[in-house]
Amino acid sequence: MKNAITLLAALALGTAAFAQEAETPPPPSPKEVLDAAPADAWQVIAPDDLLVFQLAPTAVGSERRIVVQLMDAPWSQKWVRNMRKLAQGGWWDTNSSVYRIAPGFVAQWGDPNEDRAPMEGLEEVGRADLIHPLSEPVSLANPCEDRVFDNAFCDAYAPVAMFKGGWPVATDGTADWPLHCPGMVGVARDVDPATGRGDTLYTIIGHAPRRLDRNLAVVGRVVEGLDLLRTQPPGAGEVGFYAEGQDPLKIEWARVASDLELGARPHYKYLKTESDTFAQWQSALIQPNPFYSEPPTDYDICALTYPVREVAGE
Amino acid sequence: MMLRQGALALAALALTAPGMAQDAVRSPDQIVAAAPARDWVTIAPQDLLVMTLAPDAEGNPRKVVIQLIGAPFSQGWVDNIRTLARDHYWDGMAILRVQDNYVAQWGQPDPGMGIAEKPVPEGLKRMSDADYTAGSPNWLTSSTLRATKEPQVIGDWPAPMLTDPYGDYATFREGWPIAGIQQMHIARQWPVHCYGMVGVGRGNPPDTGDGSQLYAVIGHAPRHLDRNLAVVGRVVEGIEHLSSLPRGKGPASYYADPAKRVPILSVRIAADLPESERPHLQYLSTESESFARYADARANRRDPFFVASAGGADICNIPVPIRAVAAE
Repeated sequence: MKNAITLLAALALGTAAFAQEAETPPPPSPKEVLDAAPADAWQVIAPDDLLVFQLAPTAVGSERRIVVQLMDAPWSQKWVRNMRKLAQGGWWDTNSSVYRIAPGFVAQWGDPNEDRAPMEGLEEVGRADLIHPLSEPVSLANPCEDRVFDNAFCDAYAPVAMFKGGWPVATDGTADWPLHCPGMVGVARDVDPATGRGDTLYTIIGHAPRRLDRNLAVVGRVVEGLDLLRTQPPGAGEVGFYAEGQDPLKIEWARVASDLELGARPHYKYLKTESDTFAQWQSALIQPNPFYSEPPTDYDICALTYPVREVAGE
Repeated sequence: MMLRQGALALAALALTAPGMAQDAVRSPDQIVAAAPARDWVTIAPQDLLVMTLAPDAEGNPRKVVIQLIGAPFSQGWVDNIRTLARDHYWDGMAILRVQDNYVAQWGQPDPGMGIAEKPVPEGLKRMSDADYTAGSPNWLTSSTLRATKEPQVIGDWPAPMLTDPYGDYATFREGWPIAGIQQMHIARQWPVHCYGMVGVGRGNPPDTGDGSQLYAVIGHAPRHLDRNLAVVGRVVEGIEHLSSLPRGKGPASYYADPAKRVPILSVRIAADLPESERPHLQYLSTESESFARYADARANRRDPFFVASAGGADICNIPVPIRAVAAE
């Protein structure tokens, strides 16, 4: 049992716990690659692209919040614009909460009141907006055959999956679309043809439910507070909705970070997919490691947490 | 209106079964609900491990039920786990580590945690890394070569088979999700690290762990652990008592504060419990026609909520259905 936990941890965190035992310096771990990345390998996330959900404080008065990075163009932009409008109009400042925790699946938040009239002036969104058509069709190699670990993932749900502009997407050569990986944020909706406006949101807290891809809009990812959502008491109602007598986690207000005072804004950055560091990070994920008798040679795209880090504020 | 319906619709695709019964639009859950009794397999009380945690802050009981894996997989560790449970080895120990989107871990502590190692009973078996996998029949090749992203029963292998980024194929064997390599000189199968699966903590190879330290997967399937650690079972009840625990703040997400460690009151084999305390559970036979239809429906959603169907699924998104049944 020596170092069992440390080593099981090491492979998760990429820490080279055994460095001193190696005869030659071991290759850098994924974490070390990211720690050493030059500043220009990171893209600072614009305050317009961060949505802050301020939650009721803890029992001992600690502040807590969920910060969502909004999806970049060309994906899901109508919903994203609606979400900015909803925040600017104070939609989530009233009667809003995290009212569904389904372990292994989703956490869901918004206004559970079915009688509230939707906010006016939101864009109508259609099924076609769930994907982004490519300007011209692309012919794709099959990454399931070459079995090389690069930024073309063998995927169970689409011909190819990849990171593009910092986001996990899949493509069939005619269109691409963002994926329901852990931490990604989607828009709850009624049955087809409804597509949701963006006022009721969920995030993935378990294994990626990729069957939802192209069925519900993916509009961003949680960059802060995901562990908080994953550790909320499960809903006792059907499929994880909070039951009578259970206190949902209250949302006090939500704002786009650019509408907050400078001192109150979150600051995050993500690794540029086209940077050298991204390629080095991928290589580090499959480096031989004394913990493994069968070192990993591949991952599915949602098994990787895309590198996003907090940056010191101004 | 819209919000509640939106919520319920998203819910429906997870669990509920709205009334439609036409085959073309049946949801996976409707298929499972319609499965005949003969397709369900009762889990033997010898194969169920009942872990009772200390009650939560409000005094609610917390019980985690683990189904131990059957032959030919990981049986040395499973035997050890039964021995450890009968020795009451885990009684008074604790959940020591919870790492977000990864694992919850309990039992034997590690050096560096400031907790004394607890001696294990005599006579535990020792396994090698060859025991992480089991052999597969040569004739299987004719099926594995034809596997696609859509799970299908192919040739003489009785359970749905599909392609897999971590192996030559993935499939099911007597109720368990597995993957395999099927090549000229090596044909092996192994149980996979899906959400809820339970594995054995260990040190660096050649250590393989004795079963005294266990972990459950509480996040996206860490399939890179396959063939590197022993998978010995799955949580079939009470995963939320592990997945929703506060995350550890120490190195590697240990609980730095001992007060955060959830005490384990007892761990018992169900067969050793009084009849009235035994869980009664069944799994849907992965070799049944109902399961083949269920797997197909998981990969090809035709129920009304869905507007696009993937035509595929990963093995960990085809969880083997488990149900509680009344005691006989």
